Amino acid sequence: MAEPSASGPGPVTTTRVRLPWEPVAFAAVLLVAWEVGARAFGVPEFLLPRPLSILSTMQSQAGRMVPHLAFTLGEALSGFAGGVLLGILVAFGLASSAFLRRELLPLIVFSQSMPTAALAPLLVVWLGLGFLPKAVLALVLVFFPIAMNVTSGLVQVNPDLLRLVRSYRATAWQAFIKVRLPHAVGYLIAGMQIAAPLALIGAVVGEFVGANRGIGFVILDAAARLATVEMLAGITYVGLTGTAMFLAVGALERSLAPWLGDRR
Amino acid sequence: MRGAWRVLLRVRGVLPALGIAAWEAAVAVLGIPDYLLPAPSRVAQELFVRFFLLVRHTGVTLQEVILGLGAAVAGGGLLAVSMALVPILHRGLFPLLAFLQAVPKITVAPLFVIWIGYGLGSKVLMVFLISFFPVVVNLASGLLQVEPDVLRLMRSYRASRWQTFRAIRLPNALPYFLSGMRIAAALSLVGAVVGEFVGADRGLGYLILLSNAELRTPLLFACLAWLGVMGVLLFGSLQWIERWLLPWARVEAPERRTVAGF
Amino acid sequence: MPASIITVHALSKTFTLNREPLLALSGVSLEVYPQEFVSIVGRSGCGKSTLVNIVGGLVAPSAGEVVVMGRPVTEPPEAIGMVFQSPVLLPWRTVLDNILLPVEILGLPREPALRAARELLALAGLQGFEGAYPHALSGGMQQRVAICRALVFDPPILIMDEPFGALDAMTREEMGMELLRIWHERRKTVLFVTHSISEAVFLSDRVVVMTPRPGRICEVLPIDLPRPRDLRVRALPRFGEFELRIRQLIFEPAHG
Repeated sequence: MAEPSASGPGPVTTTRVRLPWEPVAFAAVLLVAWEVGARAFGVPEFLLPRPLSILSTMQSQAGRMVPHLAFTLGEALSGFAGGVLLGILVAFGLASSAFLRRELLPLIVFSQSMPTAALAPLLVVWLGLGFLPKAVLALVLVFFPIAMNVTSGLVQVNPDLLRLVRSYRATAWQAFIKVRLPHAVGYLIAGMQIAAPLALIGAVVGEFVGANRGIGFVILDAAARLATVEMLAGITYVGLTGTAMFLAVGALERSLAPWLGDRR
Repeated sequence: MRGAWRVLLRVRGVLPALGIAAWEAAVAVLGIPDYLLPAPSRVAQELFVRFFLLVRHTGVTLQEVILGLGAAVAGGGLLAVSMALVPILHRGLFPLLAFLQAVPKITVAPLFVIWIGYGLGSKVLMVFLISFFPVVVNLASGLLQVEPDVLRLMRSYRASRWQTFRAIRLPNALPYFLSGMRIAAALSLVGAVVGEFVGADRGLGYLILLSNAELRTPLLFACLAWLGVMGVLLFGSLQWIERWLLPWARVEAPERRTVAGF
Repeated sequence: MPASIITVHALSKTFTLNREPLLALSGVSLEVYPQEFVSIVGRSGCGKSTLVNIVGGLVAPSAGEVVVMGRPVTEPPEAIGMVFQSPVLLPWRTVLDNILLPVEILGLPREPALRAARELLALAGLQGFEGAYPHALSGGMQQRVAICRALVFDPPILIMDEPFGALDAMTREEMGMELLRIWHERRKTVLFVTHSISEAVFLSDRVVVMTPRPGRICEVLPIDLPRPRDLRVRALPRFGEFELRIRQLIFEPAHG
C-alpha cells in the first residue's frame, strides 16, 4: 500500500488487487491433467471420475441435489446464527467477570480438545433425525471460536486506548461503548470467518451420522450405490458452498469493518 | 456463612465441581433415564469397568491420528520446501492451497471408505487430507516470510541458497510450523472420528456409534471423555515439542488469519 | 508576575515494584505560567512521565498536590488536553471521528466542535484526510491527528509526553516547528516531556531538568532565545551554551 505524502492534500487511494494468473494456470493445468490422464490410462469411472463427468453430473442432477443442498445450508445457517448469538452472550459474561473467566476458560479449552463433531450421535439420540440435531451441532461448532474471539476483543484492548478515554473522564460505560465494543467487532468478524465453514461441516457431519435429507445424506446414499461420480458431484457442491460462505463473510467484513485494512 | 462462601469461591475449579454436583443431583431428582442423560457417577463407573475396551479402541484412533499427521508432515514438509526453493511453484500452488483451506474436506470421507475399505487406511487418508493443508500453508509461509534484512546479510556473505535455507529459513519457519501443527492436530481428531463414523469396525468413533445404536449412553459419554483426554495429550505433546524446538524464545506464534482448513 | 496556571506543590509518588517500594518522585514543586512553553528533560526513570500523569489527573500522588487553574486536581481536568508518545487513534474511526472523540465523551456541543476540528485539520496540514482511517496514515500524520484531537475542545493547557519519540529525526524536527506554529496561533500553555535536550531548548521558554533516584527537579533554566524560533536559532552560540548546561546537569550531576 503506497505511503501517502505528508504534504499533499487529498484522500488515500488503495492499490487495486489484480487476480494473479499463476494459480489459475496451475489449477487449470491440474484439472486438464486429471481429465486427460484418466482417459489415457483408462481409469474406470467408478474408481476415479473425471472432472468433466463430475461437472455434467452436477448439472444433470441439480434438480435433485440442489434442494438437498439448500436444506443443509438451512441447517448450517441456523446453527451459525445461533452459535454467533450464544457466543456473543457468553463472551459478554466472560468479559465482565474475572471469576467466570478463571473458572470457565479451562473448561472451554478442555472441551475444545475434544473433536466437537463427536457429539453428533449423542445429538441424534436427543433430538432425532431431522433438522434440529444438525443445526445444534453447527451451533456448537460455531460457538467456541466466536466466544473466544469476542471475549478477547472485549478484554484484550490496548491499555493506551483505555488510558486515552480515561483522560476525558469517560465512565466505564462510555469506555465500553466507544472502545471495547468496536474493538470486539473486528474480532467478531474474524471469528465469523473461521466459523462459517464450521457450520457447514457441522450440518454435513450430522447428516453422515443420521439423516434422510440434505447433501450429506445424498453423498451417503450415492456411496451405498457405489455411485462415485454422484458422490464427487455432491462433494463439489458442498465445497462450493463452503467457499461461498467464507467469501461472503469476507465481503461482510469489508463493508462492516473497513478499518481492518490489509491485516491479513 | 458469608465468610465460608468467600473462601469457597477462591478455590479453583469450584464452578465446574458445582456443575458436576448439580448434574448428578438433577439426574437423581428428576429420574432421568440412563440412555438419555447418564449421571456423572454412571459415566465414571463405565470408565472404570470398560477400561480395557476403551483403551483398545483409543489405541486404534490414536494410530490413525499419528499415522495421518506423520504423513501430512512428511508430504506437507516436502511440498513446502519445494515451494520455498522454486518460486514459480510457490506463486502457482500456494494461493490454491490457501484457497482450498476454506473448502470442507471432511465430505470426502465416504469416498475414502469406498476406495480403501473399512480398515485403518481410509481413516489415515482422511486425517492426512485434512491435516495436510494447515501444515503446508503455515510451513511455506514460515520459510518465505523472512525479514529482507536478514536475507541481505546472507547475500553479503555470498551464502548459497541451501546455506540460507538451513541457517535462516528453517529456524524462522519453526514457530509457523508449530502454529500449523496445532491446527492440524485439532483437525486430525475430527478427521479420524468422522472417518470412523462413516465406515469403520474399530476406534473410538466406531465405539461411539455402537453405543449410540445400542442406547448405551453412559459408554458414549465415556468415549467422549477419552476423546477429550486424547486431545489434551496431543496438545500437551505439541507444547512440549515446542519448548524443546524453540528454547531460544517465548515466541508468540504469528497470528494466521487463515481458516483452520477443513 | 501573573498567577501560575499550574502549581505543583511538594509532590511525591511511591510505586511498589516486585513488592519493593520505588520512590518515583520526591518533593517536586513547580509553577507553570499561562501561555508558557515548558519542557521537562531527564534520563529514563527520573519521573518526568509520572509527574505529568499526576498533573493530568491520571495518577494520584502519594503526597503533595497539584492545582490547575485554581482547582486541585483529583481527576483529569477539563482544562488539559493530553498527547502521548503513541498517537493512540481508534482504528475503527475516521480521522475526523477520532478528533471528535473527546467532544462525544465530554458531552460538548457537536456543531462548534466540528468547525473547530476542520480548522485544526487545516492548521495541521491534513485537509482531505477527514475520511481516512488511521492505518492509512504515516506515524507523523497520526501524531498530528492526535494533536488536533487534544486541541478540539480548546483546553488552555496541553500536556505532551514524548509525542515525537517514535518519529525519525527529521520528521521530529519538522513536527517541532509545526507545534510551535500551532502554539503561537492558539496561545496555549504547553508542558512538554522529552529526552531530547536540543528539542527541549529549541521549543521552550523554560526547561525543567530532572534527575532520577529519587525523581526530583534539579534545576529550571529560562531559555531567553528570540521568538519566533526558526532553523537559525540552533546555530546561535547561546543555543549551544544552554545545551551544554543541561548536559552537565544530567551527565555530571556532581557539578553545581
